Amino acid sequence: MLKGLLNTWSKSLELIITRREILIPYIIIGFVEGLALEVLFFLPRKPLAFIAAPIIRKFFGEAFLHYPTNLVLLSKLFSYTQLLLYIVIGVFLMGLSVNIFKNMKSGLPLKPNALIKNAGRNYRTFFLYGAFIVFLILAIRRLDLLLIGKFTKIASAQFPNAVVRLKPFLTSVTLFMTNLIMQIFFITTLPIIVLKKKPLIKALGESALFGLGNFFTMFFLFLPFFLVYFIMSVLKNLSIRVASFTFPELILYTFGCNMLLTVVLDCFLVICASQFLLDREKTVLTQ
Amino acid sequence: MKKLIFTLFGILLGFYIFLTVISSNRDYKSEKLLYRANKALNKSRLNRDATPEQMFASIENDFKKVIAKFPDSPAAKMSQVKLTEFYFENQKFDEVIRSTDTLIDKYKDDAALACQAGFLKARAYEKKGEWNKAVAAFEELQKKYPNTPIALQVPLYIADNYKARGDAKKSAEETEKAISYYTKLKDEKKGTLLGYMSASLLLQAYVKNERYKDAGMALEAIVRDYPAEPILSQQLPLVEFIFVKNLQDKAKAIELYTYIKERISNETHKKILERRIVELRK
Repeated sequence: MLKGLLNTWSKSLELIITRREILIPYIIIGFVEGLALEVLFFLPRKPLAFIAAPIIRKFFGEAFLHYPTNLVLLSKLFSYTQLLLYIVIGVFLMGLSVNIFKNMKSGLPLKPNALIKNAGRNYRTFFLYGAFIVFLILAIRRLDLLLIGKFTKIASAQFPNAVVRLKPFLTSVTLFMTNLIMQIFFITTLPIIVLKKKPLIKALGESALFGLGNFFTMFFLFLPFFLVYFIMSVLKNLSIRVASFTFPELILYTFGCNMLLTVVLDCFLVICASQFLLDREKTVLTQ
Repeated sequence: MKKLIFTLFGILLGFYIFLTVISSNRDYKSEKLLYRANKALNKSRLNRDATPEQMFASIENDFKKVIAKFPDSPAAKMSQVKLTEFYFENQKFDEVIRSTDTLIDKYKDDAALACQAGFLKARAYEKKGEWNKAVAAFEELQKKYPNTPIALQVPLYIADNYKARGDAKKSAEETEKAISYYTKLKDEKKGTLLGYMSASLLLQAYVKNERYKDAGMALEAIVRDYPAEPILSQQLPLVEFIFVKNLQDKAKAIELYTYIKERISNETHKKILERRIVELRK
């Protein structure tokens, strides 16, 4: 298994290094997120405040229009914006990158107009897929927190001190594992839609079956990526706490760095998933 | 590829510069400066003795910078207040008086702020040992802002101060003045926050002067006129102190405990009251 994993990782990394055009969709995602981050940063100030201030005041309170609490709000708003951008444009650009991957593997030329047109035909599918994944992530998160809450309530009757100490760790590990497991079942949906030209529902079903059939391999294949995402998430949360001891702009810089790292990580993850699917399908085909 | 990255980065940078230029918001800059000064002030308060002199000078300069650079901003107002508090904590009472005069002149429309400034000014005179000027400042505060929580406490504060100085005659005089003032106000403003505060201060005045019979009547009036749960819970220790410990009137204590028990929802407090009632009946 380890040899297989290393093979997939090295093939994906080699492709990204030798054919850097595959990073373009992710650079565009990063650029759009960067623009969004800048707009959110300047929201509490005029002239953007003319529109944003009443909304922020109503939903979050007056304090978030002033320094430094505006930066805490920035982190919250940016997280929501990232989810929205993922659905509206993120998945579309990822689909485009899988198309680029397919053309590179088949030796076909990379014509931007044709690639965009091809991906554009599937925009509705990508949009729905993005919405589905975001819904699933949020639903699983809610469910996890509910179950952890119930478990800790029962456990705290017997072991109150231990529960108080372990709850944050337990919550983090549970959220991490359930997210990873969910991704194993659905991460190959996008490559299936693009490479095998399947409609959304069929692609979701096939991806789930594929994940089930290759569960342990995919678990270890994607574990490093999600560990890095987890660390990034912890750093983001820490930056909000540490900012009050150091300087509030730390939140902005942490989110900015996170964004840059995500460009490379997302590309590597999607290409790995596509490469793994291609390798397995070749294996199945040759059998 | 490199061209694309540089182009996109250039657009991001350009957009950032554009937003910075059009959003040159003086309020935001003043808030940043105020935050920095406040942070340093809070840090210095943690261990005043270990704080170097340069830090105190830097804190003062930062607040003055906000006031000088952004005189009409909300941050300038807060800076002036913080500067006054800073001077008071560092026993620079002449500066306190000057600063409070500025606050009162500049922000006369803000009654709460002007009242707070007036109180600090009076306290500064008191700390300087100029008690007559302090009393004059307190009385001016009471005259200008009679219906504020700070001004309400002035009569009792003056009475307590004379007592602490050993001037029993003046203390008794001021206490009587405070008592009539609070009695009048508690009836005028019955049912309001001011009415409740006046009644509480009246009770305090009686307790401090060991007039427990009057204190008992004042306490009963508070319990019956303001039957809100948080207020009733606050009066419980006073019922014990006045009726049980000093007046030895257990029947009255039982009556009030029973009245309060029927009006609170906190089960723990109810159980405590039930136990106490049983003990008092023995």
